[in-house]
Amino acid sequence: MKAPRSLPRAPRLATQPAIVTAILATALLFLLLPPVAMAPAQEDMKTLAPEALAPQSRPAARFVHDTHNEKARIDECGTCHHGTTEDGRRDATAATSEGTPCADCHAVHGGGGGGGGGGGKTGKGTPLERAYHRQCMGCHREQGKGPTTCGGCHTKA
Amino acid sequence: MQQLYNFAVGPLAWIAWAVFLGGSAWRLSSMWALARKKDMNAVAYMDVRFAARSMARWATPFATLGWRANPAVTVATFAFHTALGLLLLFAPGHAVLWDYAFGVNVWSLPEGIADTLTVLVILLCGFFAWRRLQLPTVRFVTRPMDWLVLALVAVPCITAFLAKQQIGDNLLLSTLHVLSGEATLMALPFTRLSHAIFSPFTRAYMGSEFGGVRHCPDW
Repeated sequence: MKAPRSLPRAPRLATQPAIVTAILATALLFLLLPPVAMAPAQEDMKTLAPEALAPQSRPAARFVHDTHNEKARIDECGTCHHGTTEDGRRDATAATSEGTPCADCHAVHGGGGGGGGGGGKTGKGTPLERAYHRQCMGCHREQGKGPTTCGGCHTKA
Repeated sequence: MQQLYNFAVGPLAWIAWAVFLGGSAWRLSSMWALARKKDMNAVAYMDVRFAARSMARWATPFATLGWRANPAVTVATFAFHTALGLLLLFAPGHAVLWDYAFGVNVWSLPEGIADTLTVLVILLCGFFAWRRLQLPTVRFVTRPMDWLVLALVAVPCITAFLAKQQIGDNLLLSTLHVLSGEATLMALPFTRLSHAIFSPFTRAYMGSEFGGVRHCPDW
């Protein structure tokens, strides 16, 4: 009696460390790539044009992050990237939101959580456009420096 | 200049609104007192039904003989006041200021439509100016005050258009826009622009007299 012919086995994944490493590396690359592509580094920032506010009705507000802060002598990230209380209200004493774009917390129509899915906070939440206007114009008026007219920031390219 | 702009959209805006509202209240109450003192007959004949009929008919283009007499002026008048009213209440830039100052989300016109209406109002100001210069009957009744009120409407619109299109010195034009707009607001109760607050009463008076005394509509 002939012994049953054993079918050639597919190589087991666990036994192929090179393949596993390649898959994991690719996955890791895909995990890392989108944030890199979507959120340019602050030093490359030239305008404030969050996708959440598209299509924009006026030209994007001109804002060169590092040049602005150098000129305005802003050293503390928390001056703009402010912290919030538990219910999402602005709080100067809370931990700053350093490194978080405005649109990640401020939803277009207000309320908790932003377009980027970050935050997830409860409370009223300032709508994104109002947050930008109050942050920029508010400070410019308070300091008596910097543009406060529409065309002062929303300049045509 | 930046400081002047900040002052114009800040404290001066409160002053302008206070002068407008206080001035309007004073003008209406003093006119009411004058009517009671000198023309009590007219006050006695005031009738809501006739007043409403007059307002409705005169608010409809070509509904009255007066509106049919000069079609070009009728079209221009209705287009002018409609466009101006829409821009005052719903210009995108105005909505941003309401939103910024009070957190009130006001509906606003699409940018393209607001731009078109601004150009329309400027052109119609030109049409009214042309009439005052060229038509003898209109020239005869034109006083310096008429040129002042025409300028009080034209200047805010022209500066708004230039600032929006970013033609010329943006800060200067934005400042002139806000200052001239506030001048118009403050002048409204005290110039011929006061027709904005008096016109309902003018219509109520005319409608009541024609309806209650002459027993006919005010043509």
